Amino acid sequence: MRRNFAPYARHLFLMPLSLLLLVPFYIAVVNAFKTRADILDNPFSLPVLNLTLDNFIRSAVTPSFNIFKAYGTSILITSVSVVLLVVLCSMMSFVFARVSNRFLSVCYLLLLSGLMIPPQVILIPLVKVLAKLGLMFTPQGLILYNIGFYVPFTVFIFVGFIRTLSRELDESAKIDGASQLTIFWKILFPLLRPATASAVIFLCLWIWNDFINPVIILGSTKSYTVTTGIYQAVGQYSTNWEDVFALVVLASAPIFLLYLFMQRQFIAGLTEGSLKG
Amino acid sequence: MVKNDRWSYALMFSPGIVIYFCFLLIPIFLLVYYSFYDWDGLSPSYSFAGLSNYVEAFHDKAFARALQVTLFITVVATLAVNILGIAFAVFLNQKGRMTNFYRSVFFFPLLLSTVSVGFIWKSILSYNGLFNNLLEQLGVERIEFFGNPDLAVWTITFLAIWQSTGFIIVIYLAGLQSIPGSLYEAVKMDGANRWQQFRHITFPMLAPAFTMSIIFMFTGSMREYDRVAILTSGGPAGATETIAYQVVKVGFSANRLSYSASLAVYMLIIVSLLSVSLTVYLRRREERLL
Amino acid sequence: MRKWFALGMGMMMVTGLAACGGNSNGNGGSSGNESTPAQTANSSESKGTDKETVKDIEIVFQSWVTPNLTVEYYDQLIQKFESANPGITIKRIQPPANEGSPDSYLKTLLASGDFPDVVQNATIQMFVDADALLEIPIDEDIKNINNYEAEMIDGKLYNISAIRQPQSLVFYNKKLFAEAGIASTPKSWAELEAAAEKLKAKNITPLLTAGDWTAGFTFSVMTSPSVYKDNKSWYADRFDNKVKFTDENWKEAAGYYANLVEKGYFNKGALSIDYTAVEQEFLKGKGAMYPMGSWFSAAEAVAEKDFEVGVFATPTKDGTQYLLGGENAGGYAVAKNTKHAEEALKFAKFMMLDPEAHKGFLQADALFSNLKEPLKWEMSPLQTEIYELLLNNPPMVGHMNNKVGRVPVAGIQDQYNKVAQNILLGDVDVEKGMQSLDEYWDKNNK
Repeated sequence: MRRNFAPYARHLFLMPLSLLLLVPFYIAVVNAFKTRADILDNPFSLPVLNLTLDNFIRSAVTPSFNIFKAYGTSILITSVSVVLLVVLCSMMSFVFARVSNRFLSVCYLLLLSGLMIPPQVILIPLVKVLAKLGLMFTPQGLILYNIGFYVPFTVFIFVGFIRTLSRELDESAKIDGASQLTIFWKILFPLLRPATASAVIFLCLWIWNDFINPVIILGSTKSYTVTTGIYQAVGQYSTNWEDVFALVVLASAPIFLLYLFMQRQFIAGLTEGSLKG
Repeated sequence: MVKNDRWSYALMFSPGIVIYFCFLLIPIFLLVYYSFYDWDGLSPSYSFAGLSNYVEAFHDKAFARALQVTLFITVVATLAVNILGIAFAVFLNQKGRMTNFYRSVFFFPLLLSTVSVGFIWKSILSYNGLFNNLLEQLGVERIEFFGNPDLAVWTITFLAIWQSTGFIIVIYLAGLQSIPGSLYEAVKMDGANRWQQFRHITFPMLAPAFTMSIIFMFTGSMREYDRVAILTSGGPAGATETIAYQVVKVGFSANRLSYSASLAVYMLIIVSLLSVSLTVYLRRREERLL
Repeated sequence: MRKWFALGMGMMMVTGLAACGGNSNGNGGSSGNESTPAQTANSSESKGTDKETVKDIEIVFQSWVTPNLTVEYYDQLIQKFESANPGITIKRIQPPANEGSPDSYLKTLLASGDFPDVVQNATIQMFVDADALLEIPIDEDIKNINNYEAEMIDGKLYNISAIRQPQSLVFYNKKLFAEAGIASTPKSWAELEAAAEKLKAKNITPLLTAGDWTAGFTFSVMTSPSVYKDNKSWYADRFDNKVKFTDENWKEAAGYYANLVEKGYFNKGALSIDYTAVEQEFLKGKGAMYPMGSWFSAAEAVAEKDFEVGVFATPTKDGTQYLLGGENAGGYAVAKNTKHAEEALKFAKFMMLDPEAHKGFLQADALFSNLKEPLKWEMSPLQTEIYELLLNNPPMVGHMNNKVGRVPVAGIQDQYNKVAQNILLGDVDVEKGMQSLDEYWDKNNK
């Protein structure tokens, strides 16, 4: 009896929640294709009759904002930051996992403090540091900051995973006279694939979606990311909701496409025991 | 350790830590340094102020209130997200129709930035937003999601839960995968029902995932800023001001960077103490359970 | 040993990356980070080939873009300036996020040493305190401005502005007033209360406000005129501790406001909507009176609606009109450390005083000329009404975070917002609210 009933109970529980999670996406997407009047009159309807692309055309390219340039910047910033983070942090984590001494313990504690500081709070000191190094208003500055900011998270992901790998692997390679560096890249790194996958996924999401740091570090006129572009339609004195919806859709579209495209590897990667903690 | 290894380790370790040092730790140190001065964030000169900022912050009622609000959001969101996370991870871990659909959907909120999500929810929940218009058409009184101080805090908390649950589900799903099936076989032989299986096997075995989820939610919620800035600007009447929001406001709008730095240092101390003790406790719990 | 090695390695890497950063933007001088490779190539070419032309001077200008002051408005004026002044190019930048003012953006630029040559709509006092602004010489051009002393700080002028911006106005829906049988617009507190009562009896929402900054703004324009009309340097006196927010006149004014709230004259759900939304409510006819600054008339002029809008000054206790607002506030200012002070000043003056620029600026934000020979622009009927109110008004002082004798302590508007929001939430203990303003003042007066 219970056997037949249980699957339905599960849907009873999961279905409403899925809807709750999907409603905002539905709202953003359908309303991006409607006129302002239409949004106010029928916010929940599908834009079958009065479908319009005006919101996209109007907000994608303006004198101060160009979505294609913004995509370029976002892709550059995200990819370089993520690649460097994975390379640098996986090596760091290897050291953390294999060596223990007081210096490393202190470093580990210092990394923890990075998890606790809201980025907005260190804005002015950060600007001072970047300006001193001549990195203010450059993509390099933003990339280096991104690396600094996400080192703790990435290291925690990798350290947890490396600790579960047996030391015998590196010991045997060592007998052949390989250096630790070679051992790591030749033998361990390929085994880290699940951890790498989840780190890459989360870092991509967070860096792509970051708002405050690109705004401040890149400045506004020379380069900007797609996420900061949303603010083009928002002001203290007026918010054009139809443009906001369109920009939200444009800013998130690449991430969604990537997600739908890689969904299988994505979920597999995440559930292969990568986040053992 | 072989000498050669040391060089290898140093080579592998240093670039990451140095970047972290330059772009995160130095700004934090600078912040601590400023907190002992009376800098407004602009002037070319400032003078030493000793501990006066810290003394003032200690008696600051608005800061105490912000701390309360932040702790409320953190505790509620951390608990709710973890309960939901474990429950849904267990449901999703079973093979069944639509499992893949659900898995994808639960991940959706993670794909959007807090800023986008904030704007979408604002358009839905504000007084003349989409949801309230619907209520009016149904003849129900509009709800002041952001205008009522208590409700506004709950709304912010709800949205934090909404956006983080997917992430936590993923952590628990990963944890579930690592539980050997043989454990269940053993207790099933003893005639344990589903709840007993969960209580005696699943939940204890999820301890590492539990630790990680709690710590991430805790540190994340204590930093709550974006949603507050977009949805309520700390209002009404300061009811939704979190610590991070207040630090930024005091530093930028009241031009008291040094004072806001001292608030930030307090915040760092409080969050560190709490999260370190939480971690220690949870790690002991893991050792006990596994 | 290993520690030092680690540090050395890391530093090499960082400086390597930093060098890349430096190279890509090393050619533009103080504002170099803005130059694209193409521009750099251009300027070096012109330096090489035609030596007779004046060296190109680049002025970086931070503009303030609003729905009224559009990018096109600026670009068109910049073009005009550039063609009249060969050798000077203007590089326009704008804050990335439209907050209440460009101050936060300018602060980060100042911290990074990239303060623009010409800034617009900044909080002047703040940047004077930071020693970032250039003193503007009082020449014939400046003397052409009425009351140019109004914005001076310690006897020195730092901003170029020739505008009047009345803020303590109440816009009203003529149709709804007629429906409620209100013959003349209220001048005193008692008359306003009577009008509100009549409207309420007809089931019309008498007054409109919103959450966030609008709450504080409404509170301030409804209360402060009664206080400042008798003391036009109230904030200066507050600094000298001669007056307090808990003085009788302030408590009375706040009590009057709290009474309006308590009687239910304000729109329901006010704190759940924002400025944009409340403006729409009024334009849709959902409330009879809307206290707001003159800029609202720009939105009114283009809005479709089936009623006429009128305007009156926010009532005072005894019924004498006293408008508050900006007198030559905001406008353009020049950076102290600019390399081209002369040209920057020329541009700043052009943007405010060139007849075409001046008129466009006024019209865009519904401002009124404060030149000795005021420039007229095409005003809507509502704007003409405001203009006439202004004719009878003595020089205005500010309110809230603007100058009343002196600029108040920074961030005071946040406290006004809190007090006003508390009143709207039903906290009728106004004395406690006013006391919190005093406390905020003392605490932040550093």
